[in-house]
Amino acid sequence: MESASGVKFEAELDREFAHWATTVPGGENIRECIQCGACSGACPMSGYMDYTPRRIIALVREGFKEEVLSSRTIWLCASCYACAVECPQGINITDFMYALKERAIKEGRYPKGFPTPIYAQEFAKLVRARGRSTESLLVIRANLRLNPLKLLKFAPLGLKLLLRGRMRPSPRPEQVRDRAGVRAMLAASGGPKARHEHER
Amino acid sequence: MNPTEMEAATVNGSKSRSGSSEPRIGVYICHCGANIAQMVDVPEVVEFAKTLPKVVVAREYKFMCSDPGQELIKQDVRELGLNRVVVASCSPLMHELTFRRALEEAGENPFYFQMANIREHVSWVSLDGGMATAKAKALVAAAVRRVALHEPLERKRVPVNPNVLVVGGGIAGIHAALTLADSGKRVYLVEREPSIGGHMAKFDKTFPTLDCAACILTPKMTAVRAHPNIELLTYSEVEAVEGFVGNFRVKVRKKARYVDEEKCTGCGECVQVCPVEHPSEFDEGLAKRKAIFRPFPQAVPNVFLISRLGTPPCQAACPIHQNAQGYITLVREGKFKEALEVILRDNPLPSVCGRVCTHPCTAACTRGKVDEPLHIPGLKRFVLDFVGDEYELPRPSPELEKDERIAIVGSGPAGLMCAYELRQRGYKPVIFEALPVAGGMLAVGIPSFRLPREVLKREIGKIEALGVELRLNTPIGREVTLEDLRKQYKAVFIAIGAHLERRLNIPGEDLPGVFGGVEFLRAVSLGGKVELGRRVLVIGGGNSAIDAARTALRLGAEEVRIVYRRTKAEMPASPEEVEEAEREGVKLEFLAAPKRFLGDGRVERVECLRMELGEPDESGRRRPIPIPGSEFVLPCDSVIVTIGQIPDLASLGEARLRGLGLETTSQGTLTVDPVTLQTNLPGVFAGGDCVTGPDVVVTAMAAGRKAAISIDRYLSGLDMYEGRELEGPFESKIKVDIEGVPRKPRVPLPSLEPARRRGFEEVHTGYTEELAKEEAARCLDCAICCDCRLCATVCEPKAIDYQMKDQELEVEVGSIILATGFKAFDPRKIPHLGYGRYPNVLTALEFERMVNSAGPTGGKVLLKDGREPKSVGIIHCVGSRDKRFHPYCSRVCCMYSLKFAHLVKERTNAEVYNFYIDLRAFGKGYEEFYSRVLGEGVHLIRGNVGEVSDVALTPEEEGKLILTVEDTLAGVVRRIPVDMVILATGLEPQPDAEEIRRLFNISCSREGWFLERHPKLAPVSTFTDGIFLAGACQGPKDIPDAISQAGAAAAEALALIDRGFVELEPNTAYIDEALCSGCKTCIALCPFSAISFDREKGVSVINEALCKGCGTCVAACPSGAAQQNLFTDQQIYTEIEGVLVDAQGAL
Amino acid sequence: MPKEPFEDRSSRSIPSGSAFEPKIVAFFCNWCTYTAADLAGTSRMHYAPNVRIIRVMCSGRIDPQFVLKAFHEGADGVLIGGCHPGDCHYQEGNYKALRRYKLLKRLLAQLGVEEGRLRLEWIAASEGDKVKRVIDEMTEEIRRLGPFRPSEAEPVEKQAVLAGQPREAR
Repeated sequence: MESASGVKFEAELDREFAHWATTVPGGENIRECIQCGACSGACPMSGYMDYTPRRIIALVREGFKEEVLSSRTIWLCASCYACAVECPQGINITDFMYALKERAIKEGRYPKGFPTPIYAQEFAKLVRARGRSTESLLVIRANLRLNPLKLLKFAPLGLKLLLRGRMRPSPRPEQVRDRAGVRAMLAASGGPKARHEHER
Repeated sequence: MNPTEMEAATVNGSKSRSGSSEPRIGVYICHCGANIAQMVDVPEVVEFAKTLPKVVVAREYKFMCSDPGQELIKQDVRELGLNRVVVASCSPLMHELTFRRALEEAGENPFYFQMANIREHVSWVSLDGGMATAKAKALVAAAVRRVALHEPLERKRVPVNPNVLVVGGGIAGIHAALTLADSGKRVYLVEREPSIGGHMAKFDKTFPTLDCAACILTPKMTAVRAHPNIELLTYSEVEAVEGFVGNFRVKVRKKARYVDEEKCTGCGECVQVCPVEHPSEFDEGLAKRKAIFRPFPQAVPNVFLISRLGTPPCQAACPIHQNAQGYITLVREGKFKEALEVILRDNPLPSVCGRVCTHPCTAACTRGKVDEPLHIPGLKRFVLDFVGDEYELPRPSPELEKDERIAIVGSGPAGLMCAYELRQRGYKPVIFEALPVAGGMLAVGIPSFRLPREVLKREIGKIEALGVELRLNTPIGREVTLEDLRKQYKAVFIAIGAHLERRLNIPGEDLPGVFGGVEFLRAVSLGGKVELGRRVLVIGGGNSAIDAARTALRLGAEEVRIVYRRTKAEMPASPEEVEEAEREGVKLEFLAAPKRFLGDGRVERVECLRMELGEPDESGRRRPIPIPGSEFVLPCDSVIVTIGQIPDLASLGEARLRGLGLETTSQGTLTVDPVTLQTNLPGVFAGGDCVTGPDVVVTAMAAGRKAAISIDRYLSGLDMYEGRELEGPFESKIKVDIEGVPRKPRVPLPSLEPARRRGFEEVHTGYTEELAKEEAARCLDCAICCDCRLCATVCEPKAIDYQMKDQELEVEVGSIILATGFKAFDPRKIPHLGYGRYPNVLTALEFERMVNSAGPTGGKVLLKDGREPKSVGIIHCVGSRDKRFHPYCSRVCCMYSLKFAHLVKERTNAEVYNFYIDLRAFGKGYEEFYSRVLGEGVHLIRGNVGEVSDVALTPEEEGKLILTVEDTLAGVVRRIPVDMVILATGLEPQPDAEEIRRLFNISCSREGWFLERHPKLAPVSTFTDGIFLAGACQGPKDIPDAISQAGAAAAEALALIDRGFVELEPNTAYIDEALCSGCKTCIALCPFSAISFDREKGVSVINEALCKGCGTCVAACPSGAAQQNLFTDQQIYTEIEGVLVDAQGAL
Repeated sequence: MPKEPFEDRSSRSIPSGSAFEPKIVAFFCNWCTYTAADLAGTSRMHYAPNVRIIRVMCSGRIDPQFVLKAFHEGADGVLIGGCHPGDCHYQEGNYKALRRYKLLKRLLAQLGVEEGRLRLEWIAASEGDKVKRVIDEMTEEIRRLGPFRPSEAEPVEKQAVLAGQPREAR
């Protein structure tokens, strides 16, 4: 039950989420974070984030699942690893961000209209289906979900790329020969199906 | 006290009450509150114990170590007649002593006791109650079986030496020393640095009281110096420790200060004249000190010392060991007269060397690794030019005057040097010179445009002025022979050089116009006429060839060409001489050799063969191989052949030489002993080119000196071989760190333009005063002290002694306190904080020196460019609380960072920002101090700084250092520009902590701090009895805690001393004579040499006083004769059986 | 899993899944290894309960016969613990222990005792975690090797080869 004053009640928090965080890559020693803020200080994107990396960890530990999974932070992570290098407790924050991203997509929760998760999903779909991404198709499909009007803005750029041979003129998507093999590889290495079994 | 003379004292009441009758065992299982009981089923173990053989009673209790617990044991001993006790509880390292004492108080032998460790080894480490209980049972079974075999033993008493050694003179060491000394004990305080005071002496104010550190420290330091019971050994280190508690023998090395501590009054006159500066270690490199220095004005002892690292590379490489660093440093300071004195110490021909020496010193010069080596000969020559004629060579002291006359054949550099060195030793040398001029090759080989004749004459004249007789035009071998010299003089030194031409031996060599090089140069030098043509060829590639070629030019030749059979790279001539020759227009023809000279009445052309380079020959250079059929002709009207020289032994009368039996080599040189330079004829020595073949001036001079030393020893009847290793060039041991030295190339030596080089005036005009100083300033001061010896000239008490050696002392003490302190973390390991890159990023200790009123800025807070900072950032936790460096908290940094904040606020108007993770203000007055600092408006920002950078994103950030940090409390990421950054560097163990701990046989913890016996119960003692810890060497701590610990350590040492004796654990080994076969296996195994062999009985015997109880001999004894008390084979076997009491599958 | 204080678990057994619980006898030197084991205890590090520790003053005291006796009495493995080379409280005892251990290893191999049943470790007084690690590792190793039954051991030569010794001529 949410409070009108913004005070957070214990019932609103998710203990399972906090425990889950310690089981994913990068989260093994998340409990040892001393909240120093070196990660936020080193992070080149922290100024743009709604919650800084340090704050995300503080929130995760206590079970603030909603806030964390719907934050922009995890999608703004540039994977530069500056945080992981500077963390005095040796926490691999970047890998942890990836785990949060996976969970956010799995639960269908991400900030509305935020391009990064949409692009990630469309890319994954293309790769899973055909073993390769087709750039033109990726841009089109992603923007159809985000903001179709944006496609008009991209048109001049697309034309230039076409003329310069940087983009394939044929609308046929690229693919590999052994598509079933790729799918099998993804499943074996811990794709959604495999992970689901493991968690059970 | 010699351990073998120790008396063994028996402890009363240690005899067994019940005699050696049947064991009656009492077993006690402790709950230890819940510590044991919550994992081990104690009642079950008790029941099990009752079933064990010889167990009379088995009980359980909550806390066996408590009084009622111990009373339980005592009661059972009295009432049930127990004579063995097993307690299953904590570790024996914890309470073995407690229970042994209880047993003793009950009237039983304390060694009829065994403990089973079921807490540290069972309950605390298990998760499975069933298995833990099983394990506990097994350990109890083992203890019960073992204790039945225990013997009644007696403890030995050893007296304790009341002296104490305190290692480390920081605040902890000082306090411990004073406490012990006040109680009447003799204390040896050993400190590695030249002064006591440690890190505290560097601080300005201390937190939280803001007491001035020096004000509270210096009275204690003075008290140490004045205390009659303290022997202060500064600038000293412990080298070896032997013995054991109560009886340590410690070797201490007192390093040489080169200043007598007793005589030095601390006046400081020496510092004024010392020309060498070096970064001050005490000031953390922020200021400079001199080579002779005192770490800080209040140093205790208040005496100076000199940093003399040894022989610098230049001096070591010089065959006559000229102190180049010495005179160059003095030139830099403008002290030219003093520079001359340094030069004249080792070299009576400095103007000559400064012009023509091949300078091996330059090749060794450390500056060469940075950019270019110093122009050492140029600087030497400058000094001589500056002083001109107004100097005298050092005179020999009148007491040394002797009557012996020595004959020297030859007045070249070898002969002149030998004469000079002999004269300095009081002898009367007489030089016989065949030519009408003195100087040898200096006068008739090297042209005057390289070495002006007036300069040479002047230098030789000064040698003569000392009392050296010079007879020109007096060759040896005709009217005066070698045998005459041997009869008339006490010794003879042959230094006739190599003045005989080496011939090509090809057709046409005798044609007019073909000159020998030696003949040609000599003729020119003596002023004779030479019929030289216009087109001159010079055959050869050495310095003589270059000299001949350049001379030919000056005699009017239009074209001079040098013909050499190899290439430029293999030319033996000095590269700078070749360069000068080329500048003057000499042409060089390579890979060509003359086949024959052709001409009618005079040489007109030379037929040459082309050469190619083949395999290397003995000199290491590639052999020239003639190419058949490659003849070509070079036209000329004069040829000068300079292909080498050999000694003119025939002039000495070859037949006579053979008659005398003087040995020669196949190359035509004289054979001598390489160490003494004596020939095979006693009293006849030889050196220089006549021994080595053509070589350079300075090598000949070195030979002259060597011969003089040999002659002196020969005539004094002393050993001629001892201690002569350092004559001649060697490699300096000094390594200089050249990182960060800014590059500045050599100042070129001014010389005449080639166009202006007409006649024979000197080509190199030499440095001016400014140029000389500029070049001298490039010297890196390799040895620090340059041995100029100016300090001794101004020291009135005559306290300076350059010959001082390290001293070795041995002290005997009964206990040792280690107070060796800490080292500050080096923030270069964290590159993103910018230390070492940005000049205004400081470490904590650097800032301490800055704010110290006696420091480099007089206490002002200043940026490197002298401005006052407008904003300062202080970053906490640098190197601490960080798994990458040190996971621990360094305890003092938060408080000293607040102190810094306060001091900056006090002295400037700057904004101050402290960046912390957690603020630790745990001590008395600390939280109040924090509050005060907050009240002063210091920004306390909770956030670990991500980066220190000078890249500005906005105009306000220009020229500043920007700190990017998340202000976690305000919840926003900030960029904060500051002028100065102070890094709160953490504390870490001294870098040699491992070696120190080995010396004293103690352990280090995982982080490298010395290991205390128990972190809670015994923080100042170690596992080695008699060795205590005080201060930061045990772990980071602040001053009050360090002093507390020091007092505690002193108290524990006093407890030991006042008791007067130590009781040794009776776990020594012994040998059953009856079983010993005399195989002697054990003897070599004992590291304490406690076992000796009794020849009469044919058995080994163990000296109980020396035995430490390791048991190595016992394990090795093949007959089981050697056994260890408390750890006999039978006892351990039965313990093994007990520990496996529940094992199935026993064989 | 966090442990509640004061709960009495002395009678609770955790099934281990395997019936064989190795019995390992450890000889620990007083100054280093025994102290390290105490430290492991003080730090509440949990490790396999299969090791029973016998204290000696120095690893140099350990007679190879102790090891044989232990196997004879039913031990499945023997662990020897001493100070790191150079750190022996009695200077060199651990070097002597090392020499004897090496020779003993060869002997045991020829008797058909598998590699891994006898282990020597240098453990310093501050290395409580190493005590835990070594005991856990060794317990698993012995569990894998199974109970000590030399009567069923492999033929001598094969064992010797497995232990890296040269084959003996038959």
